[in-house]
Amino acid sequence: MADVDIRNLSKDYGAARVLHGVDLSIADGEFVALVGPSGCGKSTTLRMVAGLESVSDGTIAIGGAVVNEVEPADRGIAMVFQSYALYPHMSVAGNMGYALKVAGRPRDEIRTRVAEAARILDLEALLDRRPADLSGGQRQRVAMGRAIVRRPKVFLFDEPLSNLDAKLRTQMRTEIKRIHRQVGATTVYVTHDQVEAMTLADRIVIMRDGRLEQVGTPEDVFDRPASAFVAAFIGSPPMNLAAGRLEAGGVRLDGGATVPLNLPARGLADAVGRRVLFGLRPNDIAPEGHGMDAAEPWEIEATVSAAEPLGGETLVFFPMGEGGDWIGRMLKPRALRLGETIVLRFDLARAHVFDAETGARLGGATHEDRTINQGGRP
Amino acid sequence: MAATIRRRHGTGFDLVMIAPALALFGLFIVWPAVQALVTSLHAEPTRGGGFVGVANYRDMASDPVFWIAMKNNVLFILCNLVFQVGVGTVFAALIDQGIRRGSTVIRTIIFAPLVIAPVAIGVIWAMLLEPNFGLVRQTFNATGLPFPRQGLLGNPDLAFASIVAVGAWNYIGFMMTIMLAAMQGIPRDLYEAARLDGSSPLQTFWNITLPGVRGALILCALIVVVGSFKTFELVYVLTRGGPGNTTQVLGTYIVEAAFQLFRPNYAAGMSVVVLVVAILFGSLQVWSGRRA
Repeated sequence: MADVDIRNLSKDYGAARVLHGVDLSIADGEFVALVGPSGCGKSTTLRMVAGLESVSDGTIAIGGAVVNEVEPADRGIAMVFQSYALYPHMSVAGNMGYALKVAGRPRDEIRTRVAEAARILDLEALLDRRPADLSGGQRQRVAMGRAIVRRPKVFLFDEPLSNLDAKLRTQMRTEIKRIHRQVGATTVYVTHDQVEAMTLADRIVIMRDGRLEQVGTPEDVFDRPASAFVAAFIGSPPMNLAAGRLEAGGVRLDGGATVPLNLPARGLADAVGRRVLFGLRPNDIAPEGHGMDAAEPWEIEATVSAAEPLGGETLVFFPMGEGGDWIGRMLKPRALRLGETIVLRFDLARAHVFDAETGARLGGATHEDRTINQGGRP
Repeated sequence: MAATIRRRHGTGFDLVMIAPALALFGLFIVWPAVQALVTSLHAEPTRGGGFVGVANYRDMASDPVFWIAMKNNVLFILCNLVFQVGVGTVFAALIDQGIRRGSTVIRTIIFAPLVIAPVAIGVIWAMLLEPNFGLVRQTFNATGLPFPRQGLLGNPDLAFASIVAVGAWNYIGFMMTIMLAAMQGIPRDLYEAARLDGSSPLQTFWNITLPGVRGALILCALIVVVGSFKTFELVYVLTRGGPGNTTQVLGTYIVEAAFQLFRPNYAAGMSVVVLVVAILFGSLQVWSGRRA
């Protein structure tokens, strides 16, 4: 096992810079997820760690040794691809043992190590089959088996569950988590699915436009997002955001009410007059008696513009400020009429305030905030 | 859509639709083949033209030139498999994996000879290889290298190799294009996975690329086998089977037998042999295509 240390990592394609001096330290045995929208540079970063993309600037060290010029096979890494990249003409055992075969390892050793990986992944009955004869989930497990057989220091996953249906994805998430616990290898996992990142990772790295937006534990990025971008990206449904201006008594939303906030207690006393984005997660908005224990309650009368019953709960859409509908949750669902007026309770203790211009978090600073737009280290 | 039309019009409609193609196929392929078979079972016109059964085929078995031609055909197939399919595959792999700049130009240059008719190719190379004033002779002379007095095509030891070389020049581009198209259908991440697995370029070519293009490889091989067995134009224009039958193939020997030796029925018999072999390999091609 080994740690991964990325310093000032940049990537240029011709004149275009797609990765801007990324710094990231991943501890030995840690599971780190890189998330972000398409084109944010997460896969490029992973491929550079793998050695499949050259490094334009900066260094990548694995286990203390800089590997910028080291061949992918000699970096001590193994990668699971989105498409699985299984060799179609080889059996499952052939796929899993290929790295050892080309390395000239003895047949007995190959057989033992393949059998060991097959046991971990419950693939023993499938070793003679071809990839075409396997289901999506089985192929995924073979791809992981191929990685495990190499006994790498670092596992790299490039959106490995994207091709699976929702049910299988949930199963495989559990499987990946189990294997990580069992094998204990350092893992870098790229995904655009924030649920995967939240459920699997010890730490989440949120990327945007080739820069690190925030690095933190799942709780950090959910409860203390470093920017409006992170707030909107993490969470499903995403955080409600509305533009407004800070006033002495709170946030005056554009075209709407003033939300009472204790600015000095939030360290925002000096920010009065500043344009801001006021944010609150749907979890923190509910009618009274719907199981939300608000530490700093504030109630409004809201007009229901839409409702999405999800079975155990109903998402309630209502207009707020000028930025469109906000979402709240009814944990004890009942039938709602469009246009019906209901009283919703906000837990303002969990409210977030971001600078309207830069998107950076204001007040209640977290230790991760300094990573915003600096590619800074956690 | 197709099912709806069939339901509406029935099998009769299907027959009407394929009738023109069937008529042309029957007229220009099946009828001449039957004619050739019937002709081959009769004596030469100069000997009365009566029914002689398989006598022409018995003659073939004892005709040394027929066996030279047959041997040359087989040799031609083997050489073309190596130099057209083999080299074409290697070129395709180089362009697919190794050459980053100018691959389109290289592909165009290699493919260009294919758009020229084989007869024209033969004429061009006959001029280039002309023993007295040809460009190749002049180049050898200018560089002081030895050149056979009777030229490459007039030398019994070099004529066959020269024809193979010209054939390769003509068809490598075609084989390369088919193989390249197949190689470009192999997902790139298989190569990346192989790189991560520590596979060398040669191991990757052998273990990933070749199995990935197996279908195209079989197709190319069958095209070469059938094409080489039927070969005629190139050999006829370059050497006419000479010198001394050293480059004789069945195609040229059939023409020689029919129009120079005036043995059309014997030539028809050899045509039937070529036809049967071509049908066998053609069936193999269709069968392997269905399997793929």
